Amino acid sequence: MKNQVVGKITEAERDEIKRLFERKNGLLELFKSVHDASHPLYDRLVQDMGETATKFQKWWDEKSRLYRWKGAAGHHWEIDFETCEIFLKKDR
Amino acid sequence: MLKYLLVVLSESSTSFCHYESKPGKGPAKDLIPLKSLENAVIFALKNNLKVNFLYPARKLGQAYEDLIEGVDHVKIVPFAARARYPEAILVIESSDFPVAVELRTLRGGNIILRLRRTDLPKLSACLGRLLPRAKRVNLVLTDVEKYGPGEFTEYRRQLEKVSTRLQAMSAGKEPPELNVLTDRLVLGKMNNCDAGLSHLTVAPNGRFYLCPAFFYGSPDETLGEIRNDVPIGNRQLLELKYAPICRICDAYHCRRCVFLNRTLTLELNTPSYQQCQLSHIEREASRLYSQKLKAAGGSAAALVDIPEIAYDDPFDVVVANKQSIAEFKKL
Amino acid sequence: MSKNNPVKIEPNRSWEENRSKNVTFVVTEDCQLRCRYCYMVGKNKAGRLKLDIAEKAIDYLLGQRELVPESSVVWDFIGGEPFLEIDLIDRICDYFKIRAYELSHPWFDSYRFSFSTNGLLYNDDRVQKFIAKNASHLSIQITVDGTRAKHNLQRVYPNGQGSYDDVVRNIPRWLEQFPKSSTKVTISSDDIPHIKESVLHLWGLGIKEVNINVVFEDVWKPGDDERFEDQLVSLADEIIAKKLYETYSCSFFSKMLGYPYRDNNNWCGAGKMLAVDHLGNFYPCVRFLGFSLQNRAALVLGNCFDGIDRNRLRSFLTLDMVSQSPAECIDCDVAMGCAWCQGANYDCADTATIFQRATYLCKMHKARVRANNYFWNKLGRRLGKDLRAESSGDGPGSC
Repeated sequence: MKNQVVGKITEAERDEIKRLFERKNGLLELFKSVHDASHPLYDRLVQDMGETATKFQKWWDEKSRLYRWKGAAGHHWEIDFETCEIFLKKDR
Repeated sequence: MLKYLLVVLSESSTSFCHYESKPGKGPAKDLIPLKSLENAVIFALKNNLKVNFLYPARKLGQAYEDLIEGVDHVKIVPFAARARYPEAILVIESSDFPVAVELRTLRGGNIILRLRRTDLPKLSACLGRLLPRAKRVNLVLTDVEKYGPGEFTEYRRQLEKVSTRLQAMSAGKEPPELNVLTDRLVLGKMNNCDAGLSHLTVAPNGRFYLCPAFFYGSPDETLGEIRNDVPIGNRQLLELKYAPICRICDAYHCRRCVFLNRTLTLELNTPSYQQCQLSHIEREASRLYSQKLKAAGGSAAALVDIPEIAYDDPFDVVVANKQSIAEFKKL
Repeated sequence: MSKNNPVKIEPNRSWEENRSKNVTFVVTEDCQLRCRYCYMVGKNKAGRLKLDIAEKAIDYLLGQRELVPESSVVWDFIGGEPFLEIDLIDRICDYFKIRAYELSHPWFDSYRFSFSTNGLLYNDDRVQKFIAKNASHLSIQITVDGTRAKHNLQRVYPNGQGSYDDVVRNIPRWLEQFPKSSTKVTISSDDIPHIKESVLHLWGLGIKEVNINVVFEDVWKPGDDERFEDQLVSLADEIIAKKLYETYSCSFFSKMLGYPYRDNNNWCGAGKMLAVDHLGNFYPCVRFLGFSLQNRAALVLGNCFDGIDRNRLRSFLTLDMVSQSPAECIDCDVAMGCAWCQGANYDCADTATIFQRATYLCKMHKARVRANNYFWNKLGRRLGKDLRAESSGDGPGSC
């Protein structure tokens, strides 16, 4: 199926997931430079990555339950940060 | 419209404003050439201009004095030359403040006090000695670019002390004027220096400048030789309408010094934060002084109302809320 | 693309537009090319940013929340050709990420690294390694200046040979990695006959967003505006006939173009953004560096050692449209969208000021407005709706 709009969130919710999304990516990319366990930031970074990933997943779980977005096997949800729309997209 | 001309008679002429002039080079070496002075006087006569002559401490030759007497004028002279020119406006430097016996020679005229930043704690004391002997004192702070939070606080404190002295002097007689405190009490619109708009300067090199400060500080920024047509590039930037910060401001007494603007912000029409904060400290001092006078009654009721405001730099107001096109067109 | 908005012709808004602080590092004054219209004359290998200078600049900005309160940052790397210094850039980016994280600075959660490149080194292993390392935070714009003929008119090697083939070779990989990428096309007098063909050509290469602008300098010849208008009208016809507006965008066409002014805002972001040269000097934008100016000295705001002189920022932050525009411009019926460059204004002004707006573009802007009106009116009739209704207010003007 083509990408389908399955829902829309509020701007506040958008801002929340956007910040988590950005932070998750930032931590992952920082880890590429701070992957040595002897680096002073390593422990803090690893813990942060775990916490952020948890929060990120939790957001999706909660909102999908709240709004009851349509799902499908072999598909995932994506958000358009400009329009706050939630799309159902086929996995690659 | 041009109303007067400033003529700097010598490179070592007294400054009467924020800028510093130069020490003397020796007799006649730094005087404006006589021909240039003649051209300046003729220009003034042809254009209905009064002339403010800025004098050095030493004597001029008779030929110079004769030319000067040929045009309606005011003399601005350093304190040391006061005996030679009893009717002149005197310039006193805080760094060389006259002793008591010298001050006794003052006779109720106009005085310009140029105050160095390091003499700021002495401001109230200096004015306390000058104001009883003057009709008007113009206070000029000379090194504004070095002012910071400490100086702003001290200036505020000093003006409070001065206003108390001034109020005490006003009992029973017309008190003297002090530009930074009393001008705002009677102004309903901007009353600025207006260099380039209401006056031009002829420097000792015989060339036009917006004001003497440009001759000393930026001599390449000349407006050219003395001639009938004096084009000023982007002249509109000297006007209030084209100054985004100033046109919403009601510190009407501020000089809006274009030389300080240019030096500190690189633009003729944009004041530095130091200038704005100082003008607003003065505005607030005027407002509080006005309240005291009105409380005392009498003719003070006629003074303009100065509303209380929550900012000390109109820059913050402009950045938060740009003036609309319609508001600009009304100016 | 939402079904309620079938017309996609206008470019996307840039990331965190008006909410991010843009800081441009001029990493090098060297370049493989000698583009004829480049504002940076005098290319050389000596003007090269050093890591410690970049670090000082980053530390200064990270520590100045009052002066720099924006919630996001875009670190922009330009040159010359920035990818010539990819190792340096990699270390600068690492430094920022680590420092921002150490300080728990808000920018760690909202930043981008942005590049304007000639594209020649895009496939270089070190560049690709950098891209893989920072993929989700990158914005890379490769300049393909239109058709081969148009591109090679201006974008040449020192021996005069065109660079088109060497650049376009790297485009497929670039688009695969960054599908929403845009390119920048510059139009000067000689380029006008190539406009329509160039936009279509770039779309044909798969570059869906074309940011195309005329230069700000006084290069226009009599009749250029008419030729320009003809090109845009012809392009508009093709876009409408083939429904290209559903998929592609071109910055020449905008719903907001050609109205009387509604606000007094300055067009240009100079002063709100910052540029940093290899000596650590701060500038209001890259167009105020010495090598970008023909007639004026550089305008420096400060440096990474002493900081920014807030007094020098005051004019930039209070500069508005009315204070720099002649009355004819303020009252113009089609003023909106008429662009200017503060650096070019400063360079061309009668005196050393940013408050005199250059108006060389007047006829070109009006030509664009007419073509733009033609496009929206014709497309609106085709689709059976007033496409500018929600943006009209008093309605667009005529010229």
